[in-house]
Amino acid sequence: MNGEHVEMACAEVDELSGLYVLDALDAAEAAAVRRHLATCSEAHAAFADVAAVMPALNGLIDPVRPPAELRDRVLAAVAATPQAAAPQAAMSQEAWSPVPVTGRAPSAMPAPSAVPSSPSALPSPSARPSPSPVPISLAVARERRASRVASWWRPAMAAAAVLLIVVLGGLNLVLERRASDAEARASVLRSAIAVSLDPNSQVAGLHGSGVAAGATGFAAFPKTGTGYIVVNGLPQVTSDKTYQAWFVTGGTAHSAGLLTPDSDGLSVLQGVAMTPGAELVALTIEPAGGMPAPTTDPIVVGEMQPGPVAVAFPKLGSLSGG
Amino acid sequence: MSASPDATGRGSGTLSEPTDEALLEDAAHGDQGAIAVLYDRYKGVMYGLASRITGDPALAQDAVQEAFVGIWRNASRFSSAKASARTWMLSIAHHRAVDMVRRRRPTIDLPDPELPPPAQLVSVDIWPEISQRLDADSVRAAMLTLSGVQREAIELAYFGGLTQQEIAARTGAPLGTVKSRVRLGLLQLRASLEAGGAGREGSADRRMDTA
Repeated sequence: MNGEHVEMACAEVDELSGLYVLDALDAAEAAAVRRHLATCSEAHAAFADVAAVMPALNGLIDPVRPPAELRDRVLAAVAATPQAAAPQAAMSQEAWSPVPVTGRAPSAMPAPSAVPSSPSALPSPSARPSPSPVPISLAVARERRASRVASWWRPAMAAAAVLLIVVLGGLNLVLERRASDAEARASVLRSAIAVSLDPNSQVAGLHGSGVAAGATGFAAFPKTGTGYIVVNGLPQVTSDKTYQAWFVTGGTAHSAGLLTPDSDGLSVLQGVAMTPGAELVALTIEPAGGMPAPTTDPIVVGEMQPGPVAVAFPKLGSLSGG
Repeated sequence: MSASPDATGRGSGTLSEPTDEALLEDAAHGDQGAIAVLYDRYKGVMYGLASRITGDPALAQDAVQEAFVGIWRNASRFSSAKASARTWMLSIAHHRAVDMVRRRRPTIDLPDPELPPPAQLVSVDIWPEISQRLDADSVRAAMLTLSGVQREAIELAYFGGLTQQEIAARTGAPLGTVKSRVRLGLLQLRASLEAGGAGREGSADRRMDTA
């Protein structure tokens, strides 16, 4: 029976665009459309054209008050439901090939030894035969940061890459820890790291200053789809404040979303759509709920560059102890 | 004198309240309280949509529940680059309500609710300025610029939860006609809305060739 996998021509698919966006195809037809769109090199603008009216159609809905008890029912069902992983396919355990953790965390950074001289020399987690924690060139980053923070809003940024290196050992400790209390979050972190190591990604190493001094992290955006902003070591803010991430392009900031540090001070924002041409990623502290534009000075900044930019996470080792 | 939002209607009117998008971000981080706030904001419109599609209070309630569970589960997949939070959440509610009614028809396969949208749907809310000041009256007026058969096909598809085969059976039109009525009707609706006053006088001159 091959009826379910009939391939459609582009014109045929476009014909179905209206029915598709209205949910008026049966499952097999909708799947065939999806399959075609997922693999077709044509833009199929017909779909975006008709999908654009959905907000208008939704304006025709007459609200109806549901029974009051539905609220508790809905919230109970939500509370009983685990959340799905991030959109990026989480790397499998095999693919990730984590550094084996023997004993407890190294509480200090490993001594610097051979620092790779270019990003292309970075070890990839899956290819490393004998993983040992990679030393880090934080001094370089710190210097650049010092010269940058004062004028961070200025878009012109040097092209030279800051050499930041994943501290694989420390990172693995965090993943181990996460795995025990929140597997989903660990898998988000793995996905984020995988994106940061992809040469097709745009990546920024993030560094805190001021009240966020010591905070580090990275922002990583794949060639297509959404990306991640991960920051470790952010202090908690009071409930009337929030951390807000921004993309800075040509001196203009666009919100990337809100970050909330967990009890370990780790903040992970996923599903982030990068503002095209973003030059910087920055964090500010804003009133709860966020603001349309930043109202305070940035306390964490990093500049976007093509991946792989591996990421400094100097504080991760200490997490495992707490 | 009616209110004229054009001077300041730039979407910055809700600074004191978290936006729907911000609440979805919070939900993506595991904040169930954000879902509670979204429920309070959307319960009426979602229940209204689900009631219209299912025509059954119990099914409609199930659909709303399923919708919020889906929003919670998939909050991390929401991207404001693809659609507004409102459009995204209502699309989930619509999908679940359609599931509910089709589940009663054992011959029809259920769509997989977890599938991500195709990339071609990426630019959904392409005119935020327009959708911002959309009100039901202007949309209704724009709907009147469609031909009767186009309007009927769209209403049966979206608010009736019918498939193209069911619409064809209901209206006596061939499948190909149903397809083009829906597609051209949506394009006409868009053209009317983009034309500004949304055909407030019911102007037939903007009407597209009908199928």
